[in-house]
Amino acid sequence: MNGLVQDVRYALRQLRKTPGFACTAIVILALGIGGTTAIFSAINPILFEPLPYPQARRIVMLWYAGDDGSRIPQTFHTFRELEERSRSLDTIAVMKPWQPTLTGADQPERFDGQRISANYFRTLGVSPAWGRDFQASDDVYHGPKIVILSNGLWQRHFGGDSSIIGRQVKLDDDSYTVIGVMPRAFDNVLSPSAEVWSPLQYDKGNISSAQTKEWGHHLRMVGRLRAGISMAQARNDLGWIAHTPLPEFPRPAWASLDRGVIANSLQDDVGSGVKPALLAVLGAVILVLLIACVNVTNLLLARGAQRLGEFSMRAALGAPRARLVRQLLTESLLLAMLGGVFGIVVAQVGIRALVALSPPELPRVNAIRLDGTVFAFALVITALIGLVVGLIPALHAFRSDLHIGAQQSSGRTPGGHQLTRRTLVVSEVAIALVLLVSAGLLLRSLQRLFAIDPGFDASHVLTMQVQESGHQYDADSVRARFFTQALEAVRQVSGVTAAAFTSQLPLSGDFETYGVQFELDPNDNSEAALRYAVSPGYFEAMRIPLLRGRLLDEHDVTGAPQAVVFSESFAKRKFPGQDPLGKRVRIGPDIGHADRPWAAIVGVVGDVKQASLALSQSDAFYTATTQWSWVDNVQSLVIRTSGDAAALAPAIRKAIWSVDRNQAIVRVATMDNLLVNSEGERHFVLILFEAFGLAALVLAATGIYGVLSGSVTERTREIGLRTALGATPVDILALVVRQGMTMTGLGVVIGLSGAAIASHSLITLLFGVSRLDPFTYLGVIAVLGFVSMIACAVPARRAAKVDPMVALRYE
Amino acid sequence: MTEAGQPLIQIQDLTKVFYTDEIETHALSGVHLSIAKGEYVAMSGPSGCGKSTLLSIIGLLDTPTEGKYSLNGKTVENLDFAERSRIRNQEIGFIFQSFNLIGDLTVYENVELPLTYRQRMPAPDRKKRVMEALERVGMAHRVRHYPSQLSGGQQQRVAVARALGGKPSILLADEPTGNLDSRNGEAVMELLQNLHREGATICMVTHDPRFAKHAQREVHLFDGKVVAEEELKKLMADVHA
Ligand SMILES: Nc1ncnc2c1ncn2[C@@H]1O[C@H](COP(=O)(O)OP(=O)(O)OP(=O)(O)O)[C@@H](O)[C@H]1O
Ligand SMILES: [Mg+2]
Repeated sequence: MNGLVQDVRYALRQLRKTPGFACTAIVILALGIGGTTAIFSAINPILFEPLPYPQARRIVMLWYAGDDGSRIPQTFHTFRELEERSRSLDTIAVMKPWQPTLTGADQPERFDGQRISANYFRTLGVSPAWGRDFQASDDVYHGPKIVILSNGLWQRHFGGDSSIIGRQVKLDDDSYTVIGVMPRAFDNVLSPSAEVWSPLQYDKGNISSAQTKEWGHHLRMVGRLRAGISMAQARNDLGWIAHTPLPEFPRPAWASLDRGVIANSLQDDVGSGVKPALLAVLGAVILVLLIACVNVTNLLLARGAQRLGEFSMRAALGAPRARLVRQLLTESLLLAMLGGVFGIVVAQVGIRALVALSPPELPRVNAIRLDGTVFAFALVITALIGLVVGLIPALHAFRSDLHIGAQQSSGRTPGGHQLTRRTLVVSEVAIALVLLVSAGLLLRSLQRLFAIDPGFDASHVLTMQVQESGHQYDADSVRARFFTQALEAVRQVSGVTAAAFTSQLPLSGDFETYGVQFELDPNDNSEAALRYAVSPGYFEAMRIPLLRGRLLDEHDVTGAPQAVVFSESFAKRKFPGQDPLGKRVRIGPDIGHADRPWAAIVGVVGDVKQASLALSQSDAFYTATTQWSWVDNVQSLVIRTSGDAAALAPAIRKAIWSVDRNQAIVRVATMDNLLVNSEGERHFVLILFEAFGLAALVLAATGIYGVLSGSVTERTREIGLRTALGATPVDILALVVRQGMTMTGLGVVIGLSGAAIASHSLITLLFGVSRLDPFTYLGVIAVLGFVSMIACAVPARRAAKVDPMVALRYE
Repeated sequence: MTEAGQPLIQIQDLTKVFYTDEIETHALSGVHLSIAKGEYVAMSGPSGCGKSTLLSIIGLLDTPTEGKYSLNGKTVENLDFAERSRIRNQEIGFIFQSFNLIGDLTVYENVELPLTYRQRMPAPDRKKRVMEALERVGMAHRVRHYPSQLSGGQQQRVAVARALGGKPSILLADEPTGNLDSRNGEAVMELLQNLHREGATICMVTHDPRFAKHAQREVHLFDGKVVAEEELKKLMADVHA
């Protein structure tokens, strides 16, 4: 124990003696440990930590299996059948998003919320902190208007007032009674931004009429396994139900459960989308940590070389080798601990940056924090690093004290430590290459994506969502009038060159398809396409090109013959080699209603990317807002501007509110921003990889520099001799640069195979570029080569200036 | 002057002053010296008298503070670094007290080293020169060895071979036997004598009067100046008195 204190004290003194070395090492370790810890804190709640619910492993997501095995939301009646018949599940619940506007306050505010079936919270295993949970009797058709609030909303809007239970709040012009408030710790992973919940209140009675929302695939379903039931047993149970329909639960063709139910644990479901990206990021940050360790090991080795005399001296004085090794390990552990302490600070900053940068797809963002687990993780890696980083130098010291005396005469350079140091630098270069290639591939993917024509002109376009609420807008005609008047007002704003409303906005996350029935093949009910209900002028405002026929205009109104515009690929696919103009279809709710007139295709426009730039789902149809079966109460406004689009937002808001002060305006964004955000996950990963790649590059360059610099110092005499024998400065420069570039070259060769393997893990994130893209690899090699050259230059110049006289002096 | 009588090295009124921490050291103060082609000159004098300094100026490792120096009839004081490197490489062969072989190069590579700094010398020519030089010093059987695997005498013979390989105009040796026992020292001296007999020009610094006798001519340095032998004795006697 006494010895340990002495060791620590001595180690501290050693570090103080070489502050430059100590600071460099601590900074490098702090960045490595901090970065890794920050990434771990983001990944831990998604991939490793159980979800914050009691017996979370028992919570399962239940998807309707599509024909291609895809996961499709469930219908309400399927939910009812499964709830009734399933023996493996304790409770089942369904949910859908809900975005009510709170009125009555000075500014209308729209909230994210959920419509949920009665057992939603019980399935998760949580209950309100105040008040009561929903009961089966609440969740009935035309049931009571009641809500449960999140703790955050309660605090923010109602000042945490404890008399909230029983109070009325005005949502979308209806009065709702608050019956409960969720606990502050409640983390709703299924809809993290939801702040208000109300019962679903779907109609159980209409099971036999198919064209109802109760038979629409739009509900997510979650269940809790009965205690002691395994996932496999549950899958069996659900499979059996799917394949043995009962007469009391008739199923339409689109909800036949032919392919059964896909059941996954909620944990896997939540993380599945981002898992590949997160694992790639985790891998990358571990590589950065590795390179940081290698760098510090190299620094320690260089210092060890300078301290050889001290070690030999101690050995000569009778210090046992184990004692020397312990001393060195104490020093490296101390370094690592100091690095760890600052690393925690770096991690804090990193976590904040991560949360700020995180794409909307990243689940459990609010669980990203520095908690006990993360802290323990940081501690463990710090201790590991202390040992790993200290071990090689300690072993070298251990070996070298055997050679006292022999050291001088042999002159057989490079010393063993030089060889180790070069090997380490080679590995640094290899790792840097892997990271840079990954970053390069991601960068190229994004370039490719953003080079894709979205089908419209995104520059100088401002978008926002306008939501009508209030009973005065119950009638379609009033609704339509509001939007028309709002549009008029917006067009008056100076700087606006065109404006229009659409029911769904490309690349905004909107995704809505409706069935299409063709007159030529009326019995085929398999066709569905993106539906856009747009105001006249939409195509002009978006600059979507007209390819045939005409665009929708102000003559396409209620009462006029219904006009439909098709997207190019939809028209081509359905009418190959024919003229689509004049062909007739029924769309959406009109399908199957023989009394409804057919709508005629009047034009064909270019394809537009809706879900993402990468996906080419381009079957779409457009109708005039007023010719659709209803007027949507949530519409997106697109405004083409002559100048800076974002700057016009306040003026436009004002213009809309001049029509009605009580309507919520949300999701204000320029189209350019939507475009970038639509690739949020790739962008996020790219930023991280760029940061890691850059760090790796800098570390590798300092590694090269450090080793060459040390080697030039050690070889001063040899270099002087070479100069004495007639080497010109250029020869000496070449000598050092060659030594440096050999390390780089070896690192590149090893790194190339590493990158080829590592790029496998990026495949899901790549787009339009092979993971072996030669352009990227060559580019990265060029960058590495260039940076290595710079790292070589300084020591090389120093070498070239060595006075040949040193060769003559007898040491 | 006839072509044969032209001195290879002609030094006039050469001075060298070292400035360190505001202290001036006059290492050489007014040296006159000429060495003819084919001569074997031994330089001696007490420690610190400037022998190594003079040798390094002759070898173009260092520049004089003042004075004239012409090598092979060419003035060399004011050449630039690269030009001096080239002349060093082609005209001068160095033999150092501490051998100065490079540890991670083989015997062959050590001897080849100066030749690799010459432009346009084809590899076969280089090989021929290296092997010739090694044969002349009797080390051709050790080409694959590393310096650490050789005795001191052997290492110095390799160093001589390295100096010979470039076919220099003059061999400069600074106490070539200083690190050797007397038997090995004798062997190296004999080697130098043989080389001289075959026509080499040699300028050697040595403390050892026995080895100085091998030379044709002895140059005595004292306190940065060349002095006659009798004068040196007198001066030395004064110092000891
Ligand atoms: N680089 C230098 N800087 C300062 N003074 C120097 C330098 N080199 C040599 N001197 C000084 O110049 C003088 C001559 O040195 P030099 O090495 O030529 O002596 P030497 O005759 O070779 O001695 P020795 O027989 O001990 O080798 C000495 O006083 C020495 O201290
Ligand atoms: Mg000397």
